[in-house]
Amino acid sequence: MKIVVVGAGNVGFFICQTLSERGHHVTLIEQAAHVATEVDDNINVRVIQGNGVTAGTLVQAEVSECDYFLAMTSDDRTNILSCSLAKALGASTTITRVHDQTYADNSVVNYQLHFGIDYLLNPEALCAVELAKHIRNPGRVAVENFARGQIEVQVATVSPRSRFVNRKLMDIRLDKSIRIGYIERDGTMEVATAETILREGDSVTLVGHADALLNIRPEFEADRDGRTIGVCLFGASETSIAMIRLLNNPRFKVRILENDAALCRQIAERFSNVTVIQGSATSLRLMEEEHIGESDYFVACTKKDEDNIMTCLQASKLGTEHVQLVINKPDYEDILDEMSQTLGVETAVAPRVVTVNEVLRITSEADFVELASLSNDTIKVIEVKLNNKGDAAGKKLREIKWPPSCVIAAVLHKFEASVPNADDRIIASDRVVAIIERKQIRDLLKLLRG
Amino acid sequence: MNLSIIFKLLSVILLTLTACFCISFAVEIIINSEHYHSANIAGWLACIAIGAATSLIFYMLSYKGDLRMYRREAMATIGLGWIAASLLGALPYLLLLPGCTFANALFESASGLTTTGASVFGDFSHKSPGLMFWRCMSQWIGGLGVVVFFVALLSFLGAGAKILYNNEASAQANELDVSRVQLGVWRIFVVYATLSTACLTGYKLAGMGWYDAIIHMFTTVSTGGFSAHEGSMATFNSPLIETICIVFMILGGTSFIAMIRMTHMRREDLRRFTEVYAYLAVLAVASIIIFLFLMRDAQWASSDMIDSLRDSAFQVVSIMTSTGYSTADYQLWAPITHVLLLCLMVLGGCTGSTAGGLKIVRFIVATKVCLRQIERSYRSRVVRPIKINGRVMEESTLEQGTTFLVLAGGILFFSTIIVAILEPQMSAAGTISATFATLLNIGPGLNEVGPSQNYGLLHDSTKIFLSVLMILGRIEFYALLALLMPGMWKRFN
Repeated sequence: MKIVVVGAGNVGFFICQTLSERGHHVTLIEQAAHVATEVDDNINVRVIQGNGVTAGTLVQAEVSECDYFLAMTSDDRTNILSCSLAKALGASTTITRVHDQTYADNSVVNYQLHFGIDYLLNPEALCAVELAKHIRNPGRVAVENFARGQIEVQVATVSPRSRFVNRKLMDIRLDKSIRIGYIERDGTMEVATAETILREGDSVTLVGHADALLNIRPEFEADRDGRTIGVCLFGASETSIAMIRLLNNPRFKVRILENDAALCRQIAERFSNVTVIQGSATSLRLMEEEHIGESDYFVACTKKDEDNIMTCLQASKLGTEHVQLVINKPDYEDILDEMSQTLGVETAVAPRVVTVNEVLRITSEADFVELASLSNDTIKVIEVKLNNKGDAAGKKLREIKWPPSCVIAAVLHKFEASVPNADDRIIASDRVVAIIERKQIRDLLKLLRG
Repeated sequence: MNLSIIFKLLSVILLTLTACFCISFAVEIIINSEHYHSANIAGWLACIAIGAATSLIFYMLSYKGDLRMYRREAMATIGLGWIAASLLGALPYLLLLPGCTFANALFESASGLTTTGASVFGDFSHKSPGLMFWRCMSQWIGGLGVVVFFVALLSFLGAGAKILYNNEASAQANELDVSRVQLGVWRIFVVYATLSTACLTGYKLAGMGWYDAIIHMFTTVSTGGFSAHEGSMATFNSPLIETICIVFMILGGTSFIAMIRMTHMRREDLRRFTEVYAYLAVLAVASIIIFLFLMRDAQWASSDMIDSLRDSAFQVVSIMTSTGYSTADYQLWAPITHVLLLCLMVLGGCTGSTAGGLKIVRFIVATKVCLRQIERSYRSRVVRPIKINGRVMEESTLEQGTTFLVLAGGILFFSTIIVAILEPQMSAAGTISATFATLLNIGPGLNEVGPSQNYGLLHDSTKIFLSVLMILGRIEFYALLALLMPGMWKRFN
């Protein structure tokens, strides 16, 4: 595939490298001469030294013929402008990196539609999704999320005390955005129907909006003690802000430590339910004064890796049960992977790695992307992109003859993920998340992609 | 100091007051046509002539001069404007009432314009109807503030109008959500006029005559409290009128800005009414508490429950909104109710309303600041912005709010001492309540100045001092205190 990348910072560089290694034809547009030279020397890509927001440079990079256009500089406006231009010049799919969450908020204006952006990627928000996943579902199996954390798949076990026991599914009024996919009983998996009766000990695969799941899950597990989970964030970075948004639920008590007074005020004004402490977690005295050891989670999200690592060690020592951190410098990634056991770090995420994974997922040429597997690999959660060749395109879900074991968990239409109902129509270029037995994947692909 | 703009605005204020004199004069003629009092006619003509002349003098003084307005000029305009208005407003009393001293006239005039509603005259009913009309209309004018009412609508003031509004009204111009402050002030005026019309209609339908309805409307929506009758609202002896009165006193004490917002209600605006909610809650709770104490008293327990509830609600609303009407002599109630009423005087209504008092929102702010300070004593690094009406308050605003309370406390403290020195024979409760009731623009106090008494028995010096307190309280201290600072008049160099 032909791919044009703008900007060779940490993220852009890594993307160029990975895509090039996968055999794609990559063209890089980079403004700084020394960076351009460095990329030219190291990676097998075509390098154009120039400005990514001038049409001339884009034409020179032949954006009209590229399959994917990736704007990966660290500046939001450059990225957006560049993508918009590329789209106008004929790029087929545009992906832009943005930091400002306002561009993902479509309530007033749909920025993506307006600027011709197909995908918005926010490395910090992706990190936050990754980190929050562990906090939101501690010690539980199989949590996967797609569409930037909007949709989750979870497995819950029905407790004997749950009010759903011995009731037909059709009688349980679940939130519209939640679907029960499979029910595992005595080692066999079956697709849930309206007539299925829930028994205690069943493992239920739940699909739906992350927040709705967070609320419904205790109902299945009769986990009513409702203990609040204390989360302490260090650093008011974009990752922390995205974390605060993801943890916006009474179950989580979020504290944030930040040294900068102005930033502290900003956070405190925006999020009234977050306790903001002005100070650095590098001070042991402050950590002790704030009883960081009592927190369930300590997440270090600053831009300084050294601080992140050291404060995590400190928190671990003080008694924090789960410790997570963000790692910004590529050079530290490997060593941290190796050392995380010794250091007691539960999760370490790197913005560029999560971004590249997301880009790979989007640019994947495979017929489907495997998102997760359940029940010893017999069941898969896959994401398939529809095309016009299959039978399904343009039909309502109820009109399509699905393979017997297939459950449609989510549909991503343009920029929005939703849990569909039987009367929703799917069209070409929608992406469908399905839960399906492994052996029937082929049938599903035939249906969706011809 | 740019004197010409100040003089120009003063001339506008005086001219408008003169226009009001003309209206009162007309009322005098219409109502009194049967038996002409030639003395009254001469008196009014003299008032109008003097008003027009002073206005003209100020206008001549400012005839040529630039119209730039900065903070100093705004403060001076407000301070001098209120003093000038009170002095001119005293003229009709001086000229129309035989034997009226300057102190009495000034007190009555200040009490009217500041919507205090304290009176030095006992029975007023047999006096000139035109004068009565002027007395009540002065409260209606003072309700929105003489400067804002007349001046802020002038478009040549530009941003100066904003400074005037911010300093005279207790609200902030940016709360108005308008691109031009004149438009905001106009909207407030429209709300005021609408309330007035509704109140007038209510009173008329409830059985008052036109004259009574108009003058009581003047003093109800402005939360002023003057009445044409010595028995205040009790004269009408009508539960319906009292209920209408309660409603419009409450509305007069509600933030007009909040009312404007309510007219185009959006869901997210609901959070922006913290102050109004608190105000209504305090009213309700205080009424119920006083009602319960009334019921405990054997003397009242025998009377009708509904009547007692209405009495307590009426007195609470009247005092808290700083109106000062009365339907029952609370002097006879248990002392506990006096303490509660004194507290309500201090609390006052909402900012941006016609009510007096220190404004309830300042107490909410102060409470939040104090709670935060207590938390900081053991957790010094916690960051907690303070939100009022759904908006985060700037630290400087918080400081202003708390400083205001401290200043108010200080002024109350020292003026009580001064009043006590001037009136050595007055009871403690009387002295304290007289200071509170005038500085906070309530009207009636306790004991010697209780609801069935008046301020007429005080010494002249006390009356003048209390008049100054009324103006001081009405314009929230700063504009008048600034006049006393030498630096205000000097050129900075």
